[in-house]
Amino acid sequence: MTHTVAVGEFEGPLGILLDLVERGRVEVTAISVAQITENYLSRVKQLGSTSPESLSEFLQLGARLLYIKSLALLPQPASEEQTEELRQLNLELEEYKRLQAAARQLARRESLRSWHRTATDTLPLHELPLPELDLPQLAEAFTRALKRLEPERPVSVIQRHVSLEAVSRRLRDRLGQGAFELQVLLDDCHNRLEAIVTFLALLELIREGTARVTQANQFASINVEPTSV
Amino acid sequence: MSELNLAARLQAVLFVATEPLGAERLSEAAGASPEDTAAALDELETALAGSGLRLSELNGQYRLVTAPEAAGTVRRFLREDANSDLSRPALETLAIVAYRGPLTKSAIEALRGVASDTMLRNLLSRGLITEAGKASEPGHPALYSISQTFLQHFGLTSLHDLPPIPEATSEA
Repeated sequence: MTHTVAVGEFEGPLGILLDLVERGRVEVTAISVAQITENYLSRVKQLGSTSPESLSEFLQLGARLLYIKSLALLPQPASEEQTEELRQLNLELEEYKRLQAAARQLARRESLRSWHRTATDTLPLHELPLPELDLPQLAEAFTRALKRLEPERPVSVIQRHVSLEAVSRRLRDRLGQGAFELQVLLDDCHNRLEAIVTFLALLELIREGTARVTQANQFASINVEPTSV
Repeated sequence: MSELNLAARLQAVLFVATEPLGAERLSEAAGASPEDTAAALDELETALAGSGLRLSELNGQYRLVTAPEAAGTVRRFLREDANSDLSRPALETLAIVAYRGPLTKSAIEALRGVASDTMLRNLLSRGLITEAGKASEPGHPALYSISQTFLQHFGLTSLHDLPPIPEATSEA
């Protein structure tokens, strides 16, 4: 199985090293350490945009690799130290690899989930401080409570200004278009005051002879018509 | 009405409990000895196999949870999607805490090779890991271990349920 490791901001230095080692199919040994160190450092150079904090982590491992590499250049007595350093690094890398495998295994389990019961406790009824009440009393109390909840309406409303002149003018215009029912006229009024003024205006028009009202029989609709046809 | 056995009565208590219960509270509620309670909990665990529920245990705290095998059904009912929101580094950190914990932040960082402050803070705030005491080393740094939430997230009923780390497959 080959898996490409994206060298993004989430990939740590050990991830890169592990990737290099696995690609090269080698262990970190005295022979391969020079090559691996070079590859590692060139990868780190490619990171570019990585933040200084995380870049320092990459450099830390790079310095460690360089140190092991430098030990190889020294005469024999140092080789024991190199062996120990290499052994340590290999151990860490193996552990990292194991934990990566464990993480992948966990990821596969994510679709398996367990839930616990999330029902909330119910309020024990016997603790409600309710006096003896019958259903009508309860209903009445409920209605009273609802009433209190109703928003208070503003006490005064700005009154529409209704002038006799304006209503007379409108009536004349309307008569000019022909006869109409009185009820329609009153239906158009917004409030009682407007209806009274409209009625007064109509009486005035009748008095001056501009309009005439007719009613076919008792309780029939009253028609208003212009006189001067 | 004939009395139910201890395992069944413990199951009833665990059903109404809103949090994980310790063996002590369970034995107290059932009026049974700690030994009988422990045996009954084992019995209950066995009895639940094949049902839609499991007995979950972490650090001696017990809770009834849904069976991981029922995850698909429960998820459909809850209208949850199965998309994971755990990033690869988050999974890596969780694996470290699960398999190597309890351990300190510096130990986690040594294994990962990267600073892990933000990661640990995120996992703590999601409840996937918890502080489980302090280390004895200088400064007494906090020790982190996995939580009940972690177990449920991965459909595990206890730490023993954690699958063994797969043998690192050689690429050669």
